Formats: sequence, C-alpha cells, structure tokens
Amino acid sequence: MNIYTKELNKAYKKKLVLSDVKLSFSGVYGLLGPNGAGKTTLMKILAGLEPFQSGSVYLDDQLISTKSYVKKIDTIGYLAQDFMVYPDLTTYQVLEHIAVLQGIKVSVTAGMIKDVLEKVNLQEHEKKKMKELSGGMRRRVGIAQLLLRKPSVLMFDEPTAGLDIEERVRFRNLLKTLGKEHTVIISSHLVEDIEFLCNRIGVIKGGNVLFEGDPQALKKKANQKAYQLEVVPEELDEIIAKYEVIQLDDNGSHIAVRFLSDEPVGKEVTPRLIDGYLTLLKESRIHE
Amino acid sequence: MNKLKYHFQFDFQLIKGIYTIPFIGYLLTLVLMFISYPEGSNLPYIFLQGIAIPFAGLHLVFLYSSIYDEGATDTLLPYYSKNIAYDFLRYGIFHGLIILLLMILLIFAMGIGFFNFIMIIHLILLFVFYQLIGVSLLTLVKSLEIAIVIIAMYTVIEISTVILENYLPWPHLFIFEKAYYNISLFLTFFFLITGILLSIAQIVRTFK
Repeated sequence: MNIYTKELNKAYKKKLVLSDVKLSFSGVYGLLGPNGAGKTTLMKILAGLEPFQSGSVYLDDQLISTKSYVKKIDTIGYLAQDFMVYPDLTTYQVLEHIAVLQGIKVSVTAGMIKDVLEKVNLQEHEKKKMKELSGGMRRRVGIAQLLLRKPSVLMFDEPTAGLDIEERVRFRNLLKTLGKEHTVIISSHLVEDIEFLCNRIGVIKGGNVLFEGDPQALKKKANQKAYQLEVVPEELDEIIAKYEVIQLDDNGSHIAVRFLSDEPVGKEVTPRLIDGYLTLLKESRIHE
Repeated sequence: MNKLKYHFQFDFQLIKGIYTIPFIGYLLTLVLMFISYPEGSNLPYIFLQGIAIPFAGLHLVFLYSSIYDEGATDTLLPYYSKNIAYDFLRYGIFHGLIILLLMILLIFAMGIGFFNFIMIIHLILLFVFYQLIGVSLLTLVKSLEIAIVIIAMYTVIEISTVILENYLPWPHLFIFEKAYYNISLFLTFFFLITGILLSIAQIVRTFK
C-alpha cells in the first residue's frame, strides 16, 4: 500500500512547519531531515494524531483525510520515538489489554500475542514488566502491539535513537524483515539507518521537501564533490578547518580523510548516501 | 460479560491500591451521613453531594491518566478513543448504583420526604458532571495531580462555605439548603448543565 500527501500544510500559531508537502510513501521509505525539519509532525499527521491546515492524504487511491485530520484507520500503525505504556504491567498484560481495546475477544488474544511476540523475538520476556525492559525491547513491544491489528503501513519515528549499538543492529534487522510484508516509513536523522533499510527516500528541511527519490539519486547529488586525502596527523586540524570532513580512517601512520568540496582536492571517491544528503542540505542553505 | 470482567480486573491491576480511593469516599460519606443531626438538617445531603459524588468520578480520572504517562499518549489515545463511551457507561452504571444505594439508605433513615424532585434532578446532574469533569480536566492539563487538585479545591471550598456559613459568590454547583425555586437554584442548574456540555465538548475534541 502507498500513502500520498498532496500540498499538505501545517502551522503552529503563525509558524509554518510543513509547507506544501507532496510525498509518495512506498516500499521501505526513509524520511530524512535535520532536527526540527518537520518529520515527527508529518508522521503524526499521517497517523491521525495531529491536525493540518490544508492538503489531503491518500492511501493508494482512497482519500483518507478530512479537511484537517487523517482518519484513524487500523491499516496504519505508528510507533512513537519514546514508546512506553503501563510501566508496572508485564509485556503480556500490555499486549492483551491493547488487543482487547482494539475489540479483539479476550479468549483469542493468547494465540495472537504468542505470534507477535515471536515476530519481534520477545517470547522470553512476556512476563517482564515494561519498566524492566531495555529501550530496544520496549520498542519491540511497541511493534508487537502494532502488529496485533495487522496493519499494512508501519511508521517509525526515530526508531533507533538512544539505543546501544547491539540493540540498534537488532532493531534495524527487525525493521528490514518487516519491510518484506509491510510498507514501512522510517523517520530519522541517522543516514546510516536509512541507507541500511530504505529503497526510497524523502528529505525535508524547515517543512519543505528538498528531495524525493531512490538512494542512488540522492548519492548523485554529491557527484564530483566527495574527495579523500591521506594526511599525517599533524595536518588534520588544517583539513578539518578547511573542508566539511565526513569521515576519518586512521591507518596508523596516515589518516584517510573523506570530505566534501566544490573544488577537486585529492582523490575523487564514489559518493555515499551521507555525501548526497549533506550536499543537498548545503545547497538548501545557499538558496535560503 | 467476559469483557466486562476483564476490564474491571485490568483496571484494578493497573492502579492497584488507588482503586480503593472512591470506596473510602463512600465509607466516609456513609459514616458522616448517619451521625445524629438536628431534625431538618441538610448535612446528610451535603455529604452526599460533597463527598460521595465527587469520589464517584475519580476512577476514570485515575485510569485515563495512563494516557499522559511519558511516551504513552500517541499509542494509547487512539485505543482509548475507541473505548471511551464503554468506559463512561460501565463506571457510570457502577457508581450510579452505589449512589442510588446511599440515597435509599438515607430515605430509610430520614423518611421519604427527605428528597424532593429538585434534589433528585440536581443529584443526577451533579453525578454526570463529576463523572465527566475529571477526565475533561485531565485532557486539558495533562496531569493527574493538577486535575485532582483543581477538583478537590473547588469541592472543599464549596463544602467549607456551608461550614463557615459564608456563601461565597462563585458559581455554586451544590445545593446548600432545602431546594426552593429561586434564582440561586436556577444558576446552580445553569452552571451544572454548562459544565457538563463543556466537559463533553473537551472530551470529544480530545478523543475524536
């Protein structure tokens, strides 16, 4: 299933936070943008949690928005960044209650909970209280509660923010698996996560859409702009002061410095997603 | 029936000891109502209005405060929206029956003439008001503590006006003396109905 937004506008008081947003979400979609770009606001609008001033939202070809709200439909599931419910209840109790709140009969919840716990690999933690779970586990419970209602579209706001590296890897793999059966929309400012997971990307900044397309197209934005130099440690400060350094790779005697430059310097390298993203943000600053 | 039983059990598991607070209010009302008062005293009715009915509205406030726990709002609000009418209905009936029982006990003790028609209508409106105002305030201030403090302050000051015999000039929702048709009674009903309608509007706005 695909979600489309048409000329979506949203303002807080008089400040425009989303301006004529036209995006088409499909596959595993990465919504990139700096902090305050409007990503969370857009996700909440799509989830029916926030109103908007004008525009429309479609699920496939069906209009799912009224004048100011996206209708709350079970097909779309949204997981907030800081998911936490009922801290003193166990994982099982939380899932059972959410199932019942969705109108599922108490007598059939056990089987469904077993299924979703298996999908998110939390079978061994069903008797643990929510407050005893790690951040990554809590987010997996968050996914489990979404899966109970069998949604077609899953939306995740900054899904790996604040997770340690092991949990982050595990969580990313879980999202990758979910992407096989669902349309997944991931909002993040972490380019690595988007690169790992997504086959389509949208970039927003200051409420405006800067880019929409596949990862290759975004990488191309940094064609002839990504370079690498081998420097000795003493030269490093000078390079950092002069260029927008993206990556350092210490080889012992030398450091390989990767950076963006409008002028050819050192060896030109194949652009990565982060190069394209940073180039795009830089261009947008020039146009401002 | 299974669903109803499940919901009450879950509510108790969720808020544990706090679940008993409304029952403590009922017990206190019962004790205060049946202390011996001079004939014609309106105090038993004041306690029914000022303690039992406000306490009757607390369960839903405690339960719905989970929505405003950190990290829960975006998840729980859509689910609670689907169940809010059912929750108001089951707690409305549950507490309505207890208030009815207290009224029957008062009638047994004080005689059938204790309640007149106006008082019964007033009690029903006051009951509906207190069932709604807590959740309504909670959705406005997004804090259990602040919502409870606002309700408690208003209720305590209302009761104090009786004890201090100094009727302060704010909108009164309680009837302090035997009910007669006069302007203050009209205003009480007006404020109650306005409060109920505003509470419904706020709840619908939040959970639509």
